[in-house]
Amino acid sequence: MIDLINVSFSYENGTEALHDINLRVDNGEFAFIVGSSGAGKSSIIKLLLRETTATEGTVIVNGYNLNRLRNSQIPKFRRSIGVVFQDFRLIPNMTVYDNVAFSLRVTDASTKLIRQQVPYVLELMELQDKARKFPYELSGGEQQRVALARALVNDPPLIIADEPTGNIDPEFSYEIVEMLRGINRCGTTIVMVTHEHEMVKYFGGRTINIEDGVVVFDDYIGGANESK
Amino acid sequence: MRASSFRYLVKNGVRNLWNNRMMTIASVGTLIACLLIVGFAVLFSINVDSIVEYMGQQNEIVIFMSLDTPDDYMAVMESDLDAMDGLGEITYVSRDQAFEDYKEKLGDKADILDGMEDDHYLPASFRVKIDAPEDLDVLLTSIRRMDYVDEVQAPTDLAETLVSIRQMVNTLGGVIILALVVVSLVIITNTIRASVFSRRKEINIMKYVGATNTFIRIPFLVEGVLLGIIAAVVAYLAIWGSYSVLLGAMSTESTSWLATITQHIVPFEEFSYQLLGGFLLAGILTGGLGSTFSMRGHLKV
Repeated sequence: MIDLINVSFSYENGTEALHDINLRVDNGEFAFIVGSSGAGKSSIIKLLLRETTATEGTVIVNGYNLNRLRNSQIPKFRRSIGVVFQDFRLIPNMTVYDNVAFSLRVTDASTKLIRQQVPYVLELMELQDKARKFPYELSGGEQQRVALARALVNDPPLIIADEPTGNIDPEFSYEIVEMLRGINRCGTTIVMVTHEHEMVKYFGGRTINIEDGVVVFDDYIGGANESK
Repeated sequence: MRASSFRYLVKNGVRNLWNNRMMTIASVGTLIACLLIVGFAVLFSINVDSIVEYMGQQNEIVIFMSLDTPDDYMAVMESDLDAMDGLGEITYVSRDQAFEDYKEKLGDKADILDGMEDDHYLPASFRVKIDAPEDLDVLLTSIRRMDYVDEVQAPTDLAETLVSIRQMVNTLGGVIILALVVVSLVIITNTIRASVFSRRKEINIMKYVGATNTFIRIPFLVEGVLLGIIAAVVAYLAIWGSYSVLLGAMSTESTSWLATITQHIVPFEEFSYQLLGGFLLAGILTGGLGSTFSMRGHLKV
């Protein structure tokens, strides 16, 4: 699913952000990527979304070799990933429904499919009453659930969540992660980047710690709510 | 692309016009201002040209025939003149007519001419209007070479002045219009760029959910083209209105020179289609190309 082989990445000014990373996330896994700010977490996200390419090494996501991906292939590749950002990135002048429908529309989906799929994911994210609202009328947690619905609606095999709880109240943070875990149980691979160590300790599972551009820890940890 | 997707994108473009209405007003306003300035410059230039052309045509040359010209030659001469390019209306003044005219000019002193009816030295002449003042020299040379032509009187200086005024108006008008077009393009591109810049986040999000560049461009293109059409129609109506009002005001003036000029102002109907067509073309091109070019940088994510 995700395979980083001897990946290094330097910014144009020469600063090295990642150094010889080897990382593999298999189908159906849920992995936390943790690390302090400036550790290289966002560089990994940029590589995974093909916002930039590795300076050295190979990046493979969903079967696409991103080093060799032509620009014209990028949209198709991105449709195979659902992305959730810290700042939600909802389109402000579109309703909740349209924001979610948008990611189906870019795939040239039929109106029929859109009318089936969008209400379904909205209900899954408990947003059925908010369909006609605009993003600014929602709380942070609700906005993030809209973003999650948008990421889900294409039924992608992989969801990448970049600090999805960074901008929302703690009590709703756990709810978002719970939802991600629920999605994961249905078979979707999830990679969640976060700097909230407490939350990672609470949920447990595969945890990859990056510091100064190298992987310093990659193993399963037991969570506080192991009952799951 | 499915028809439903295309419809969605077009609808989105239309909705964006309203959603970003401040930017819409700014862009349409700028475009209208530019079209108006260019439009008025074009109209001014067309009219100055028309008036100067009319004034040039008022020039006439007078060809005096020698006294020994046989009467039957006059018809030959007239048809020869008629066959020449660049000449307008031709009036033949016979010797008798010239005598009558002269008598009339003298008024109550006309009796000094009594008894000279058959023995005067007034020659027959042709009064000829000039259609092409710029070719006057060539015309004069060939007329002077014709048989029995005694003398040709021609307002060469005036013709030259009028020709140079016309050329100056055309060149200067062209340069001013070109400069205005360039300035307008710069302003419009900047306005649209600001509008696109204010929505760069939106474009960015679209890229992340896997929208192709075409998919992102279509609504912006629709928006740009619509901006252009709105501006073109408004500018056209404004010019139509003000032109009619101006023309109406001028025709009620009774000053003779103003009345003469008014008669030679090109009526709006004569160029209304070209003007509307030109405005629409300019509006659609600047709107469409402006939005396309302004987006390029934002699509690289």
